[in-house]
Amino acid sequence: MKKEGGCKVAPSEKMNEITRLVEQYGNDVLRTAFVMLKSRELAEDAYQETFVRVCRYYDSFRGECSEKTWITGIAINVCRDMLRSAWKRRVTVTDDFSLHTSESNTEEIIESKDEKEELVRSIMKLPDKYREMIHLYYYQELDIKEISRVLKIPGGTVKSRLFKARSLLAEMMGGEANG
Amino acid sequence: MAENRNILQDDAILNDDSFKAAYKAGLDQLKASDELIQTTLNKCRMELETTGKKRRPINISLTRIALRYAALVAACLLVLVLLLRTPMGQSPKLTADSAPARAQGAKPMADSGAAAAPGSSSSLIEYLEKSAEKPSDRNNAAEDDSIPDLVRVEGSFINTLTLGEAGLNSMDFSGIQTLAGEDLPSWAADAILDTYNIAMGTQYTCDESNAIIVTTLKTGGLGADAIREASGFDALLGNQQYYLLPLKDENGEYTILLPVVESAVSYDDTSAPLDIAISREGRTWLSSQYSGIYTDHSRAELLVDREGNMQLVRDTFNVKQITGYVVADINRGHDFVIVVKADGKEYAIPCFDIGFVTSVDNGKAYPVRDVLSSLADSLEVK
Repeated sequence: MKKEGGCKVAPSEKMNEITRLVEQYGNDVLRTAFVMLKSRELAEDAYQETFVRVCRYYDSFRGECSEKTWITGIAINVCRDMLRSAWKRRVTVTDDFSLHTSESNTEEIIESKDEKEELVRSIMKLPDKYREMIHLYYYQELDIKEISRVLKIPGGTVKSRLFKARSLLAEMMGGEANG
Repeated sequence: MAENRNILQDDAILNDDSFKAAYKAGLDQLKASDELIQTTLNKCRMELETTGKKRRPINISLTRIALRYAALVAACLLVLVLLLRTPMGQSPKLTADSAPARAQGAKPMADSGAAAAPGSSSSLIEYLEKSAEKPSDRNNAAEDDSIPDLVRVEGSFINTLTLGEAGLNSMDFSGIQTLAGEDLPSWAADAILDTYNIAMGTQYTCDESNAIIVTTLKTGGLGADAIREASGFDALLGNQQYYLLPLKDENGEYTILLPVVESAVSYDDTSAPLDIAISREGRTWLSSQYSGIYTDHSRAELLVDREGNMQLVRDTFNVKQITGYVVADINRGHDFVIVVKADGKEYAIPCFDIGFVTSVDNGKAYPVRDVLSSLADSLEVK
């Protein structure tokens, strides 16, 4: 999406760019939404809405941050809106991560699946704001500044939440080990 | 997992690389299906097609606004030329209500040495604005308290994900029988805060005396036309109220605005429509761990500072008696307008999320019409 100052792009060219973004960032958006919403169904809704918003605001993207940061920010906002709209219907959270795995996993993945799923499951049990922090830092590999931009919180708060998130996670994993 | 446990337990510091690899591998199993990709691309295509037809980028909108007022400006210039040719004693005073805030955000009327008299009918600009409007619109707005039975936004916002589609709407509590806010007892605020902190794993603090009573807009939302035609917020507000608890983080900064409503119906824990339900002394308060609204500190400070906001209006417009103060939710808890009634007029202080409306500034006081016009301009997409 190399354009300057939000200049106009022909519709067909824009659609090609959107297709590229869906292909390049789609899975990351889906996973981010899943971690935020804890539901495959809701994550797929968020996935669609994220890219619809990408289309809507495509012309306003001025390259002040990376494409990835921009799209992640949109995805996070979509998820937060969904959590708010879900306020009344008390979202039922699924803990069964295995329900969401693809059937086309290789044997190698199946062998190590339990360990990795357990880690994901532990992360999913973190409170929202720590879960999103862990995800943005470890999965999306955004730095403190980028996370601060995406979540619209000061860098100091990002650091303290990240620290707290790590501590909580360590506590949870330790608890499991003893239990 | 044993490896991860060791990583997590050793010095309580995560080994970033191992952790990243394990976490990524765990999530890698989740992939968008071809069907999902195709459906999404189809929606994107439709969005791109409709974007060109229905929506206008802000620069085009501003152009249209400029064109709309071009005739007005031209008329002003013409009249000014005519005035310069008339004897000085017959010149009308240039004391438009809307001038100070437009010119500099919020210049005190007193500074100009010409406080606006109620009505300011002699104002040249106001006169021209009025004459540019349809006479019937102005009359209806003045006479009918209920103002147009406002344009209904297509569908309900509750289940849509796009904010600010084609109108304004408040946080919607239509599924809950709520009571209008009178007071939020400290026991209720404390209990809600504790429950929220436990659910979220946070340690937010809150001074319940800073709880903000928020009034919603009329149910169903407001379109640009209704907002433009309204004489003030009185005509736009609904009858539901809720509280916002401003929560501070460990650094003492406001971070979250937590909506709370008083229910007209008593619930036990399991039947409550929201996941935080506090009942005591015959009153029930509802909130949710999912409802916290992230905010920046300065915006929350503005919302909390009732006295400061009233003083701002006093200072800006040289008003004597303040008779009303309302915080109106105009965008589902994201954007607010603080409405202050004084000396028979309404003044408004915007408190918007970044970029919501660019023609008025947060934290400055304006005659209410200025803010309504700005909102209507920003919403005008048809």
